[in-house]
Amino acid sequence: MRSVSYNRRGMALMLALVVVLIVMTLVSGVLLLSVSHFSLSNTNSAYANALNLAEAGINYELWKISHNASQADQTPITFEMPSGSGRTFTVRIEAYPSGGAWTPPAPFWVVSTGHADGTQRTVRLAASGNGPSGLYALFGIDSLNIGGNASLVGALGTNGVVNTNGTPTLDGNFWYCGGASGSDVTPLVTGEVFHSPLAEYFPTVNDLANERALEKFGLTTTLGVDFFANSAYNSNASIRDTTGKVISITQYKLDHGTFQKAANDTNPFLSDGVTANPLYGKNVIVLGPGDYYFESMDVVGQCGLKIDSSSGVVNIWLGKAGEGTSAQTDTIDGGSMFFTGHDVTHFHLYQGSRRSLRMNGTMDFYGNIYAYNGPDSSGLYYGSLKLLGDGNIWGSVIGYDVVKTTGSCTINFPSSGGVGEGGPGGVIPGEPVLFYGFDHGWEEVNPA
Amino acid sequence: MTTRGFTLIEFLVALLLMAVAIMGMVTLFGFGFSVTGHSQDIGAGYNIARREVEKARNISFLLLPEGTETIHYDGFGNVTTAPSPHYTVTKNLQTIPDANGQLNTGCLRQLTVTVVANDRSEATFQTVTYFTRGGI
Repeated sequence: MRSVSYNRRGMALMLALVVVLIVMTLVSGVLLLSVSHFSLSNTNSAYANALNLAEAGINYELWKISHNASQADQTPITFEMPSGSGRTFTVRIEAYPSGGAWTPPAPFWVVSTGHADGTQRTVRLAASGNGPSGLYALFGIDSLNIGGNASLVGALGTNGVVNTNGTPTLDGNFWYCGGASGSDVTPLVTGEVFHSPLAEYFPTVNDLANERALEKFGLTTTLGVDFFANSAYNSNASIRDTTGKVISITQYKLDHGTFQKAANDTNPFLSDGVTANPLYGKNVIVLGPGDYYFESMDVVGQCGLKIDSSSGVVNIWLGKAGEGTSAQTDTIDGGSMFFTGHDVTHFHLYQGSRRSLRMNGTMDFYGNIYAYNGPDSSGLYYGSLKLLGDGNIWGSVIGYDVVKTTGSCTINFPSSGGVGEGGPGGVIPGEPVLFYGFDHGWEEVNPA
Repeated sequence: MTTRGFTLIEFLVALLLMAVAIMGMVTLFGFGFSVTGHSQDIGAGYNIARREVEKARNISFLLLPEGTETIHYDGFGNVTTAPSPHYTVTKNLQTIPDANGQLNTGCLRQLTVTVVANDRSEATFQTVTYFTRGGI
C-alpha cells in the first residue's frame, strides 16, 4: 500500500525542502563548530603569545637592571615586540614582599603583562641579586695558566687561552667560553667540559664599585673605585689595631714606607703606636665591616692584616683604574692574613689597578679575589693575579690577563650542582650584584 | 486535476533543489574541513612553539646555541625525520650585542619560533621571547 504522502502533487518538493532543511541544519552545526573551534584556537594562540610576551618582559627587566639598577622601571613601561607587530609587554618592579618602591639590592617582584591580539596575561616572580663570586672557583677572563700541583675545586673557565703544565687537579666542570682555546683540560677535569658560544661577562672593578655605591649609599656614580677614595665613603678611619685602638691611615695605603711609625716599630705598614700582638707574632691591624680603599697593599714581613667580618662584610678596593704597571706588585705573604670566620661571602678583595696581585707562601685565605678593570686610554683591560706557593684559598678567584697557579696552592669553591654556575650564587650581602635573576614564586596573576 | 503521483516538473525542481543543496553542502563541508584543519594547525603550532621555548629554557643560558635551527614534527606533535613532515619549526636565537658591540653572557638574547604547516606553506604560529642570564 502506498503512503498517502506520495499520492499528492508537490510532496517531492516538500520532501526535498525537508531534506535540505535537515542537511542545512547539520551543516550549520558543523560550521558553527568549526568556526568556534577556529576562534578557540586563535584565542589560545593569542594566550600563548601573551604568556611568552609577559615572560619576555620579565627577562627584559632583569637584564636591564642587571646592567644599571638605578634604571629600574618602578612605573610600568610598555615595549612592542617585535617592533611593528602590535604585540607588547608592560613591565614594572616593586619591592618584595610588600610592594612599593624598590631599593637595590633587595629582593623584588617583577610584574609583567603580555598583550597579544586582544588578550593579555600577567605573570610575576620574585627576583634577587647574584654576586660575581658565586659563579666560578677560578676564571681567567683573558687567559688562564694552571700549573704545579694546584688543586682546584669548583667550576673553572676562561674566555681566552688556557695553558696547563705540571700535575694540577681540576675537580669540577670546565668552561671554554666565547671561543676560548688552548690546552685540552679534559684529562685533568673530574667534571664535564663545556663550550659556550658566548664569552662570560664580568663587570669591571669600577662597575662593581659604582654598583656598591648605589647599594650602600644610594648614590649613582661613575667614579668607579675613585668613589671609595673619598673619605666620606670609605671605612679607613675605623681601622684598628688588635687592642681596639683606631689607627689613622691618612694616605690610604698599606704600603712600605708610606706611614710614619715609631722609631722602634719595625712594621713598615703601621702608624705610630701600633705594637706587636703576641697572639699573632706580628703587628696586626684590623679591618672591621666596611668598604676600604687602599692605593696599594703589601702585607709582608712583620705586617699582618686581620679581617674581622664577624658582624658584616669587609670589602677592600685596591688601587685606582690605570695606576701602576703589570711589573709592579701588591703582595700578600703567607701567614700574614687572619680571619675571624670562615664564611667566604664576608670578604672581597678587588684589584682595580694594573699592578699584579701576588699571593705567596702558605696561608689560609677566606674570601673572594677579583682583578679585572679598565679600559685604559688605549682601550685595554687588565687585572693580573699570581697565586704562588702553597696557599689555600677558600673562595672564588677571578682575574683578567694572567691567572697563574704554581706550587701546591688550592682553590676551594665547590659547585652547588648548577650547570655553569660553580658556587651557590644568590644574594651575598655587601657584595655588588653581577646580575639579578629569578629567585622563586613564578605565578600568573590577574592583570593589573 | 488529479492529486496522485509526481509530475516531471515537480521532480525536476526537487532535483535542482537537492543538487543545489548538495553542492552547497559539499562546499560548506569543504570549508568546514579547511577551517577545522587550520584550527588544528594553529593549536598544534602554539603547543609546538611553547614546547620549543620550554626546551630552550631548560638549556643553560651559556649553552643555548646561537643561530637558526630547523626541526620537523609529524601531525601528532612528535619530532620526526620522516620525508614529509607535517610541521616545520624554525628556531632563531640571536644575541643582541652590548653597547660595545660585544656578544657575551651579559647580553639579552631573542628567541623567535615559527611553526609552518607544510601542506599550507604558511606560518600557523610565531612567537618571540627574550632570555637573559638568571632569568626564566
